[in-house]
Amino acid sequence: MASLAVSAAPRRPLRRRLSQHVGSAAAWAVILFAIFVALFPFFWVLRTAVTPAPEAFSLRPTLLPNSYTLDNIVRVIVSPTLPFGRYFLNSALVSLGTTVLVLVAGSWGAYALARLKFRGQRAFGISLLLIQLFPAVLLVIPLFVVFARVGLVNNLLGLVVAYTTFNLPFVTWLLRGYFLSIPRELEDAARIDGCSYLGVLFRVVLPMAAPGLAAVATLAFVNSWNEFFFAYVMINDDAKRVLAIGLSAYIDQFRTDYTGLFAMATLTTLPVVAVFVIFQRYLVGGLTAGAVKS
Amino acid sequence: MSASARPSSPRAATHDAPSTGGLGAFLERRIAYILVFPTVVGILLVDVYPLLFNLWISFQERKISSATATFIGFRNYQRILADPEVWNAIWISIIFTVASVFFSFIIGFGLALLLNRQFPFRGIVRSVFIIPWAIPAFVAALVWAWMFNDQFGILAALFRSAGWRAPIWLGKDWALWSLIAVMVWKSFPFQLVVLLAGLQSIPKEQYEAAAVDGANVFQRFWSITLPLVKPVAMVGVLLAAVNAFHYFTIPWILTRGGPANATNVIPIATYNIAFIAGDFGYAAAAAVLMFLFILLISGIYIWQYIREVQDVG
Repeated sequence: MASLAVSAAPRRPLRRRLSQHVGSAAAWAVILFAIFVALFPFFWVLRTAVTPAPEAFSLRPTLLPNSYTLDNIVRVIVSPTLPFGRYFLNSALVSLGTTVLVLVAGSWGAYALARLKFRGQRAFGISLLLIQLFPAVLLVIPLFVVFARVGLVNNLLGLVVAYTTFNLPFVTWLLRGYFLSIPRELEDAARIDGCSYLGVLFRVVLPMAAPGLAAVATLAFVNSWNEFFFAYVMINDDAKRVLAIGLSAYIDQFRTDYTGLFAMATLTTLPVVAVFVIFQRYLVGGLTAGAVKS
Repeated sequence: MSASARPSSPRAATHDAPSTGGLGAFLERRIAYILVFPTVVGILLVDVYPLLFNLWISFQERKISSATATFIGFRNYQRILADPEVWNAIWISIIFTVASVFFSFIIGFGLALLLNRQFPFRGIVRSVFIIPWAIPAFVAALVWAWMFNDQFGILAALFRSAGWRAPIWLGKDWALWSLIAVMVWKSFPFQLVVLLAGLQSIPKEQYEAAAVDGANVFQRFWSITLPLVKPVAMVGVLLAAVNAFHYFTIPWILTRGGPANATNVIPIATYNIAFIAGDFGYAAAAAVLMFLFILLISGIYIWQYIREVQDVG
């Protein structure tokens, strides 16, 4: 369509060109409005975080606050009752631990699924899909019973195990799709040259699948960082809280301290939004190759 | 890529040796099982075993507080089928799922069509739309609660400045629709990304050929865009529906199922039965019921994908 449009453009009558301009202006108006709606809550988190408390409770809030303050953020970071640094570290440990675990296991399993033959292959593939449909509430009761028995309730390792429930199947499945989209010839050439399967996996497939790995790692990390339900059920100890639970504790303990709440929400959100936006290029490509591939 | 350039290095050669026997050859023959082992063990431990255990618990009288459990057959299921609160929860979950998926799909598709054209700043614009997806659901729920606040909320202020009285967004009449609005805001980026990927995979030549044949914009949309984007759209819609059906965080933080059970979606009902009432057996039965509903929703998706796995495996 592009080449056709370019060559035809100069010969088009003025009215048609004009209507095209009006059309693209309308499209821009819709896009800008959608951007506003998509971003506004995020903006409102940041705005509340840097607004002094009295102004945050104004009955006529303005889009940009009249005065700015970093007090809320400092107060949250140094708060002795709700140790933000501790929660942040806990969240980072759990998310990184889960990501590494599912990435290693998932990429091995996905490679076998995509390229090798083994008994039970089809059953394995199908169960990966079915498991993605398990609701968290279906797994939480049995996991809670078992975790209580083996001391994984109130334990960050327990969260890593719980987060593996929903990350491992989809990581394996997405990577399988991604590996399938990589041309096979390079692997065959390496095999003929005497490379073992493991050699092919580590020297050929994984390096070529780097964008796909980046995509699923981003998703697994953000999924774990943003998880609320398991953390809410499994963690009670203050020192073991992750950010999700620390934040909800904020509402219970300081019912009116919205500025502190959103200062903490800002510090929680910015790292994952940054990761997501930086890796979104890979994300879209990786998702397309892995999940939506027909 | 560079790693693939030296596949015949001496180290690689020693690894391979299908015919020389020994440990290397053994590992090589069993390589698929070795590679699959960690994933299989993981999934058996954290997914399959809990599923079966949950099924077992659903046939028991079992409380959170006591270590004892008695087998009671189908009595939990009988009780649940006669429980108006559970049916209410299922009904609310269905409204929540259908409405939020419908609106997020329409918005996502409309925007995907707009963003599929060439225009300046396209990359930045796309990144912006991914932000609601990236924001943790608990933060999203908290800020929406703050925006919905009757006194200090920005929405109430907006209504006031227009001279209207704002509805009580999280009150009985509006709460479910407020939750749906938040869910739509949170989930349209997923639809947008999936549909944009689908649109971009449509070959340009098809549109050129249709344009040469004199098809107008609407004809091209009906006969090229829609049919070619349909498989991708189906997967996106079904995944979103499954996700919405077991979504806990946003309803929990915004309303905790209230007021007067108006937003008591089934994940919240199940959570309450399990961890507030402490009735594990009954909650396990509710979770099984919920899973059956999900299987029902996603029957097509499963069928499609099982066929694909058969083609490959």
